[in-house]
Amino acid sequence: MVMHKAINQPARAKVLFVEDEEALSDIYATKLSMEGYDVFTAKDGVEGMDLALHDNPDLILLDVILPKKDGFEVLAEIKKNQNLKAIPVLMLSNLGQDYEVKRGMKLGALKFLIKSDFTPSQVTKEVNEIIKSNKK
Amino acid sequence: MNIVNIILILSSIVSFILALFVFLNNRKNKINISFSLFTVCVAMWVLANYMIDNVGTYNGALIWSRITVYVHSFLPAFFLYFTLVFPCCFKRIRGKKLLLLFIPGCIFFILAGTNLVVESVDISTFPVSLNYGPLYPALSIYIVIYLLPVFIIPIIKYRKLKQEEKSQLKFFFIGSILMTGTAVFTNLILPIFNFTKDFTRIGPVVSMVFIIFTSYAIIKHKLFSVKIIATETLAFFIFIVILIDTINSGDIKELLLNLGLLIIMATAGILLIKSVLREVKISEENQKLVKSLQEANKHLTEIDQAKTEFVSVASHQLRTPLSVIKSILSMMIGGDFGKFTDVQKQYLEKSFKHSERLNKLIEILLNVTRIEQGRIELKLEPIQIEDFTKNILKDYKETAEEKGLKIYFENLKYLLPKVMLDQDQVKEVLTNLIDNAIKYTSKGKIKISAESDNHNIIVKVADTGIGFLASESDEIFQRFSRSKRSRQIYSKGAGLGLYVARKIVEAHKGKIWAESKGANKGSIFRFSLPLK
Repeated sequence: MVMHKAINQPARAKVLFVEDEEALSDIYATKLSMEGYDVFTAKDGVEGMDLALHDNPDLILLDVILPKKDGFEVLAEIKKNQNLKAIPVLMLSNLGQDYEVKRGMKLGALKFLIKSDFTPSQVTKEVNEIIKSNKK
Repeated sequence: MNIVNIILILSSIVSFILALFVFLNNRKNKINISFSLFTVCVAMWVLANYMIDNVGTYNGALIWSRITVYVHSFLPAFFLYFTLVFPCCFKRIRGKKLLLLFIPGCIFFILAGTNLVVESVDISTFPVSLNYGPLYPALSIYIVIYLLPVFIIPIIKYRKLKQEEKSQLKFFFIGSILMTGTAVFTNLILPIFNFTKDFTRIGPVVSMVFIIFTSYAIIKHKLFSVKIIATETLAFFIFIVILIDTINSGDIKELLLNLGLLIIMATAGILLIKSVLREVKISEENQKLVKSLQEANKHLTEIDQAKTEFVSVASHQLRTPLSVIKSILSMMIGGDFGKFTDVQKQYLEKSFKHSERLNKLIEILLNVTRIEQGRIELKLEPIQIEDFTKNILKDYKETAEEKGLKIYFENLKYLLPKVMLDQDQVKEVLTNLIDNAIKYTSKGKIKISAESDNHNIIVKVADTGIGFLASESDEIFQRFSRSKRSRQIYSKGAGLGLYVARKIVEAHKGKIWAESKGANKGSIFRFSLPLK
């Protein structure tokens, strides 16, 4: 587990980033913490679930293909958990096939993003909008 | 003549005929040879049984009784041999070793004519009863020893056989159990205990059961090609009937007539048999071809599936590092890691643009595999094609103007009805067509328009570019295809744009086609989408 604390900012919204590709995880965590979020990263589904339970994030960015437990399983568990089901989940994938998107949305994901189509700025923008609307 | 005798004669005749034709079917095959010899033995045994009861004399009955011993000297050996080679060789005993099986039979054969096996007969009883000599138990033991493996060997062989061979073996096995079981019990075991000799006639009749089972195996599982056997049997019967008639001819006139008929029948019979043989051979070859085609097709389907899965996995794997590259570049360009000089920023932007291009290429490849797997799911919505197209055109105005081209949508005088389409997919079609138009036009204009013929909405993309030859009009819509001249202008890209466009339009139950007046005379690409 890696935690990127917001630089020179009091702790604000918490974002959990579950992604097995370390380089991508690092870059997104850097960008999000630059934007003022406390970012927790996990590299597999089991770790992701653990962090979700312990740290109660305000938003989860969840990759689909993960070791140990895939994104859909994690999503299903989050949505079944009374304490976690209200947390907005953005699914990330590199394929974005129709059946994947359908499955994710059916399980309760808020949005389904294709990683290679989005830049960290664009994802951060999405995160900002969701956190903002949730606070209202 | 009583029923038993009729059955005996029929059994004998059928057995002889079956033996002959099985042999003629394939004279070199061990299976055919051993089955024929075994069946001849059975036929002789059945005939002997008839003759023993009906010859009427003591010597005649004795001779025929001893003929059964001659038959039984080799019958078990032939049967065991057949079991070892049918439907395929028994690996533990094969080749010349199999001939050793016949040694005990030879000994009994030599002694068959003596009173050591059949001592005497009693023709005062009906059926005629046989008095056995001292060697009879030895013969019985020999037969039992030889018949026991007949039950065991098929079981050992069964597991290693192919499905068709298994079925053949099953029928043969059941038939042989019934036959040998009954024959051994009634002809060997009962007489040893002097129980009753009436049952000795059951054995040969029960052999008919075996004949029937084997015949069923032939018919149902194509054991020895029934068409050939049936044709030959028919020809043979007719030949025999005419032959008997010829032999019994009253006068020279009748003899000549019957002889003439015999020759005609023989000729016709041979020609018929030859043509059936040819037909069966062709049919067998066709079956082999069909089977190999089916296997080839199965293999091709597997390869196609593997290829599609490979592209899926490869695309996914390619996108991962691409995401990283794009993310880092976008953050650098965005100033997240500090400020860059203009020149540095320019090259960063170029790198970003090319990573976008790579992303697009992967998207196309993925799309193609999805299309080929039939996995496009259309999200149909009623769309006003004019607005839809104009929207897409906006993104291309700048690119076209940079090249000095005029690109516009020809406004309609009337409103077109809405058409059901999948926005993302049809956007893909339009972008491919517009993209191509810009790529392959160096000067002039690109005009996009739409119309309706009451059944379809037809969108037209016309340019003043390089055009194409009439021979290329179908080719350009194929996978990875690009005409020679277009390759000279634009060699990058996968050549999949029009292929994908075609697949999408076809998924909408529409059509896509192109026209050109020739090289450098521009092109018109059209696609239709049904209104209902």
